Amino acid sequence: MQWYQRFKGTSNAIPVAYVAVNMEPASVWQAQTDSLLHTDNITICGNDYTATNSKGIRNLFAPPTALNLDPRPLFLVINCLSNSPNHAHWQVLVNEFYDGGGAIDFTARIANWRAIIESVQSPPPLITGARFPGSDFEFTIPGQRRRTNRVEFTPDFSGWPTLTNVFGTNAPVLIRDPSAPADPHRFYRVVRP
Amino acid sequence: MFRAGVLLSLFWLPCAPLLRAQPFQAGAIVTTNLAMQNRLLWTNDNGQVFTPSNTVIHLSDFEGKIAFFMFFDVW
Repeated sequence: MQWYQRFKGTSNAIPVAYVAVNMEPASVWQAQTDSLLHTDNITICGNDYTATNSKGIRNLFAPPTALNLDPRPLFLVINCLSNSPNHAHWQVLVNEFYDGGGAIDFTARIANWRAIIESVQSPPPLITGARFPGSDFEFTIPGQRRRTNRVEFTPDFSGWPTLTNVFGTNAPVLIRDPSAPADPHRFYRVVRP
Repeated sequence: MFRAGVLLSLFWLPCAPLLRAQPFQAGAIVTTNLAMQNRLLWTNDNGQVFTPSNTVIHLSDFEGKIAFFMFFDVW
């Protein structure tokens, strides 16, 4: 999760929220739970229990069975992006649970989860903030970490010359076109090869 | 009437397990706005402050993101 915090999201510029969910309601374990959250620098945490119910959310995804009476831990990834081209809004991307106890090496699983998270495509880029502050025409496009965005333009749709290639971070990128005044009007598009 | 009741039972009983709610597996669409009691003080990207004492975290609070949930308990 520190990976996604550091790079401000996936390679498709989609932010990732890491949410720890505590399932242990016993008061005697709460100090240890807080210690774990602090040690792991976890900033978002909810409790999956109330005064009358326990593990209600867990049971929606991993209900107890005869083979696994108390599934834990549960790793759950949900796409909360409404306009991804390849995954539906609120679609479950990962639902993996174990039977608790003992040490488990999750290295291979984490790599698999990351591949699934990275597979979620972002919506088509929007050109925003178009303006003519001086002699240059400017607008902003969303960047993509480790991806190239090709900005093209055309005055008459006879061709789409490349204005610039953008390669870099997930931050918004300001595009300037000093040659814009050469044409009475220009159209722009962003291509993600 | 009694015979009809017996027949209905014979048809009904095998279907009973199917009537139980199925868990949301990978690929399924979550149809409920999950809600859990907030535990830590944090502020979301919109500046909304979640306090441990009186706020609830909903799945919809992560709109526009990919949410990774880790359900755990210490022992």
